[in-house]
Amino acid sequence: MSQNALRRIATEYCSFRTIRRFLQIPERNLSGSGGVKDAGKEAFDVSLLEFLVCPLSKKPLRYEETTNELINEELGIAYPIIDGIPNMIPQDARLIKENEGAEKPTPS
Amino acid sequence: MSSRPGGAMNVFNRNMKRKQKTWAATLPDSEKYDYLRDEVGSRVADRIYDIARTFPLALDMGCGKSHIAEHLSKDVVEQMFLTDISDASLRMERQSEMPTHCMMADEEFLPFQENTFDLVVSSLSLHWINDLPGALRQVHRVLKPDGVFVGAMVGGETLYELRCSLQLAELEREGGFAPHISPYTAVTDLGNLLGQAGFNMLTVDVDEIQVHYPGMFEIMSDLQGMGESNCAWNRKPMLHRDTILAAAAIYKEMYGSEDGFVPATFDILFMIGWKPHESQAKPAKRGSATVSFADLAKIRSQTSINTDKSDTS
Repeated sequence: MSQNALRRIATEYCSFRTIRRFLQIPERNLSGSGGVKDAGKEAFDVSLLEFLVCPLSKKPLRYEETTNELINEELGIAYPIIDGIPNMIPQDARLIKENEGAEKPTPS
Repeated sequence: MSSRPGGAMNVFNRNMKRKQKTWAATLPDSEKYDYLRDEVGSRVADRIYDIARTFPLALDMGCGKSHIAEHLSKDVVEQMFLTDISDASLRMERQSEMPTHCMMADEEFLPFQENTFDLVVSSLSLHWINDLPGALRQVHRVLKPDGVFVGAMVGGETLYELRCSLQLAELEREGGFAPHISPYTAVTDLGNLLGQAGFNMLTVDVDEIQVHYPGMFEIMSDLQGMGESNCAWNRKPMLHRDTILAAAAIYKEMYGSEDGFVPATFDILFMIGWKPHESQAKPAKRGSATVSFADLAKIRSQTSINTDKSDTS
């Protein structure tokens, strides 16, 4: 009996310690790397466009800052960028409406 | 769905695989299930170190939590692109020495310019691809001439214990069986696939990794935690409790060791292929030899004379 009680106290103490450790680590991570991550979120590295193409047509893409998307004008599809990670999966791409697509090539 | 040229089969539900991987990466203890990927990732990195070269730009296809990049040093790879189909695992990317760029991409639709990379690596993701020949052709396309592809995938006789146990149990309890383990690429086919995709100077070898588990249920829950659940289109959505208990018993009986553990075998196929370039070694032109095979016998007698001499001296 006394052994059981001791063990329970020991495990509870341990779990309490691990919980404390878990709580501390995320806090530190948030304060440490938060700034860097935010910077990555906002700006997409335009120099990557040199390497990236549309996965379907293999043609170059254009970065649209206002919508934060990579756009293939020819096929009229846009690939979203979420938290600085471009999503180049064809199923997730957004079809640009026809009139919108007609407007876009004129300014460029 | 886009049309698949070359009559490729459509075996796997890629959307399902993506959901499974995302789910597995968001598990609170997902690190626990990374042991196989870590091991294979370090073995792939080992093979990259064997190539005495610095690669300015590399691509990891299906990186998961970047299990290869963490083993590589800056002197070998200077810059790396990491792609995966699940964004959850990309967000958990591990620290590595070189600068990395993450993006979500499907291995069947690589979003990269032709002749971009000096090195393409892939660890444990090619076995869920429907169009493996097409994917290899795309890898070939994004590689620079004289670039190298180093890949690892499960294949061969992987998980044959689980496959046999489930089949026997289902046959016995339900009078027929459904495929629960996906079809794998054989080692012998891999060389041909790489050759067809245009690679040369091929190296293909197999590593057998055996993991010991307390029982069949632990194997299945670990596979689920790795995001390696079945995603074939024709998979059976349920497995009866009766059958699964019978399978566990068969597994233990047929393959269990004396100390109560059951083994699970993973056959890891490693492949290395190079994109052709003029500077690479080539077989000599036919008829360019200066010595006849008929003279081989003479050479042998000469060497035997030499050894006789060295023995006497």
